[in-house]
Formats: sequence, structure tokens, C-alpha cells
Amino acid sequence: MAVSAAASLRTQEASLLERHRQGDALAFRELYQQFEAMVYNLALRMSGNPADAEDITQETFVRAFRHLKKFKGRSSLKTWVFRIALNCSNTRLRRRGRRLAHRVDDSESALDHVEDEGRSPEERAVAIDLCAAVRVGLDRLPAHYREAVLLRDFEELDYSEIAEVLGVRMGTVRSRIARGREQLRKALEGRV
Amino acid sequence: MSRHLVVKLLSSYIDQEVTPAQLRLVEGHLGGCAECRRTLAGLQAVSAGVRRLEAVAPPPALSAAVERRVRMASLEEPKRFRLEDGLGRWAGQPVLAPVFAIILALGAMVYLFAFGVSKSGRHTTRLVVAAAPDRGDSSAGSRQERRSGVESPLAMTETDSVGNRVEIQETEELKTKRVEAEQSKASGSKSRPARGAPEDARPSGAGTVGTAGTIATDATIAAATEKSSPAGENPTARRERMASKREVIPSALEKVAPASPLSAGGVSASSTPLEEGTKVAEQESTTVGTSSANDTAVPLAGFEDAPVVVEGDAPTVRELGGRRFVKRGDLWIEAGLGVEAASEVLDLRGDRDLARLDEAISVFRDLERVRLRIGDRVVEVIFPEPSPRDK
Repeated sequence: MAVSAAASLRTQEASLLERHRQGDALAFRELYQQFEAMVYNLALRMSGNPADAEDITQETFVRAFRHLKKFKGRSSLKTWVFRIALNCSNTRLRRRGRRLAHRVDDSESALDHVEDEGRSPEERAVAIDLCAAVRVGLDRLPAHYREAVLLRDFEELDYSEIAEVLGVRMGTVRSRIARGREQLRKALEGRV
Repeated sequence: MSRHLVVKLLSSYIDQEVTPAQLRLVEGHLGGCAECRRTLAGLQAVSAGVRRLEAVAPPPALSAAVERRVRMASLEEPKRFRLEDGLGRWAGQPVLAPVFAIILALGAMVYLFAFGVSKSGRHTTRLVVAAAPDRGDSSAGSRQERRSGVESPLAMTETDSVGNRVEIQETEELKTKRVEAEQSKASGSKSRPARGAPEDARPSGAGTVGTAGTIATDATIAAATEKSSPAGENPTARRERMASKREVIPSALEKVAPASPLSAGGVSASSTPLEEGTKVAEQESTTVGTSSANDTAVPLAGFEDAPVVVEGDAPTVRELGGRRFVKRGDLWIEAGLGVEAASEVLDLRGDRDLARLDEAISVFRDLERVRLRIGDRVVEVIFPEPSPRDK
């Protein structure tokens, strides 16, 4: 990100924080609107089902609200919110005994996630199939690999941002992404 | 047979997170290795597959639900508790058993978080977490020296005199204090830090690891400071030195174990009535700089040399004294102590307490202090700066 863009983002964030501290209720709403889809999708990918994703999203923003006044700006708001979302997701996974609650009805699945892109029906079918396979493969990854792969490929954070979110070193980010992808690759061998 | 490129390198290559030298290496190798090209293609495909997962629009009702919950959350903040000060009151029952350093291993991870910056400096009561001390180790000093530059001080759990497990960690301040205390001990001073004491204390039940430099009032801190400071250092100087390193957050006190040999030795072991705790909690947050140092260091003797039983992809596990410690982030925690177990031990009540802890931990994993309210008591734990560790 260009320096000026980053600086401008920080200024916006600082302004939002200040307004929140001054009791401006709309400031938090702005934050919510900015990150709602991001959090929901991450939660959905981590938990594997919309019901959990909704709960995780709610919990994430409640926590963010409770602690926003104490946010010190060491990281960007985005990585901070990501971190909360991941922690909420992981908490939920833990409480489920580390098994994702898969939807019984999978029809919602890949259809929502494959754009038309002017493909032929056959192409779409293959894409849907692959998409479903990727989702299943993702669901089966250990949580710390899954979150790294999602942050990189789905959320498109760069390595340093991921390191910030996860609170680990770059080397750890690198290896978790690699191992996650490798596990996916092996799981999908023959289909990719 | 030529070697193949490791997946980590190929994966980084996909993300263009390689050095120029690595780039040349990868591209040079790929030109002549079909297998690596296949591997790369597979990695690229799964990466693209994840990327192509479409973002789903959140359900329309979600924002209303969030707004409701956020509104409720804002009502939960007690008026007398400024948001900068931290959490609202928990709905727990008073903790009856003496509890000191309370770090809960939530999911086997100890989290660090802070509740804002203290703005006023009046009552700085700190729970200073001391390291598990029951292995006397004269080389602790050097280990600490090494450690401070390389790795965070360790956290271990101990069992206090009433069977509570507490998790403790040595802070930089503790280290400093310990070094001083060792000096004063070496000079024959009677007031000694808790080093080694917990081991003595535990069998006799007279003191606990928890008391080894954990929670204390300012008064006892001052007293402890007086007693344990090396000749020549006065509390003011110590305060200033300590204050320059850390902010202090006010917290109420925790009732500690019955008098132990440690209390004379600079370990702040005092019980406080709930009223005092309440009063403290009601005070405005205090500014930096007036907290007195209550840190009493206890060395983690022998831990660094404990045999590593598992390594590699699994978290590093060391075994010491028949107990296993797992590295999580920067801290060592006793393996198997999940939050449910901890909550029993520490007498937390109800999902709400756990949820609050969980929440605070999730939000402020990288910060330095945790202040917990359990029942009517507020306990604050201080950690050193975490240094990210590569796994």
C-alpha cells in the first residue's frame, strides 16, 4: 500500500476512534459497516456454516465495541478486527470439539460461490464441483492452517498483515500458508 | 537425482514473497523439473480455488442483531466504571478461596491484554506474576539475562496452599527485583524474595507460589520494597525506575494465603477487604508513575534445561518435575489445564465469567496486562512484552 494511502487510512481510523471515544454512536456503526462482510465471510469459512458465522460475527462486533476505546492503534483496525473474528471463530471451534458443524443441507454451498462468468453449464458444473471440494478441503484443515490460507487467499492480506493478525512471525505465516496449501493440494489431487 | 523445491518456497513464490535470489532459484529449477512444476500447479490451483470462493453477503437481519447486542453491551457497563478502566462488573460470586496470580489457560493459551491506560496514579495495585520457583537455581540470573534478550520469561503453573492452580510468569521487573534480591540475599539480608520459598512454602502450606510476588496493596508493596531492596536503593528510586518501564493499572486486591515466610521477604501477601477493592475499582484510573514496585522475582530454575519431549510441528513440550509444559506463543503453560479445569480450580462461576475472560483474551492478546474481575475481586496480572516466536 502506498505510504500516503496507508497514512490516510490511519488518519481515518484515528478519527473514527476519537469520535467513538467522545461518545459518537455513529462511529461504531461506521466500523461495523466497514467490516461486516469481511468478518462474516471469514467466520463462514472458518466455521463452515452460516448459523455459526452469524453468531461469530455478532460476538466479534460486541467485543470490538467493548474494547474499541482501549484500542491503541498498534495495528490497523482491520487486522485488529480480523484478530477478534478469528479468535471468536476458534473459540467456537474449540467448543465444538474442533469439528466443524457441517450443514446437513449442502445445497446452499457452492452455488452461491461460483459466479457465472459466462461459462458453459459444463464449465460451471466443474467449477462448482471444484469449489465444493476446496470448501471441504478447507474445512478439514487444522484451524491455524485454515486461517492462514484464508487470510492470504480469501482476504488477500499480505504476509506482514497476516503476521499482525495472528501475532506470529512472518516465517510462521509463510509455513502455515504453505502447509495449508499443501494439505489442500494433496486432498484435491486429481481434481485440480 | 536432483532435489526438489520445498513447498514453503513454492508457496511463497506464488505470493511473490521471495527474495530475488530465491526467485532465480525457483524459476531456474522449475525449468528443468516437471515434478516441481506439477507441485506448483497444484498449489496455485488450490490457492486460486480459495480465492474464488465468493464472498457471501451477510444476512440482512444480522446488522440489526449486532446493533441490538451492542446496545445491550453498552448498557452493561456500570456507570461508575469508566470504559477506560476495563470491564464491567462480573456477575460472579465472591471467590472464597485465596487466589492470586490468575492466568487462565484458555485453550491452553495465556493471553495478554490490558485494560487501558491508567490516568491517575493513586492506587496501583498490581498482581505481579512470579515464575514457578520451586527449583532453586543460582544460575537464574544468567538465564534471565539470556532470556530477556531472546525469549520471554516463562510461565508455569503452581499449586498454592489451598490447591488452586495459578499461572505465573516472570516479568522484566521481576527479573530486576530478583537480581536485586539475590544480591541482597548474598549480602546476608534476611528479607529475601520468594525465590525457592514456594517450594518450602508449599509443603508447609504456609505460602504459595501465588504469594510469590503477586497481588499486593501499595502499602505492602512499599513495605516489601523496603525490605527487599538492596541497601542504598530507596523506594522512590525504585518506583521511578519501575514506573518508567510500565504503566500501572489500578486493581483491587486479592486475598492471599495465610502468612508465609514470603511475606516478610518482600512478597506482598495481604488480604484486602472487598470494600477496599471496591474503592479501588471506583477510583479514577491512575497516571503512570506512582506505582510502587511490588515485584518480587522468583527464578525459573531448571526450566530452560528441562528435556524437550516433543518438538517439530507439535508445540514444544517440556517436562519438568513430572509435569508437562507446552509453549504457546511466548509463554509456557502447564499442559492439560484448559479453561474448564482452570475455572473449577479458580472458582470462576458461570459462562459469563469464562466468556468475559475469553473475550478479553481474544481482543488483547498482544498487550501487557490482564485485569480480571472474578466475583467481587479484581486481579491484575502483568506480563512482559511478548516477543513473537516462530513455531
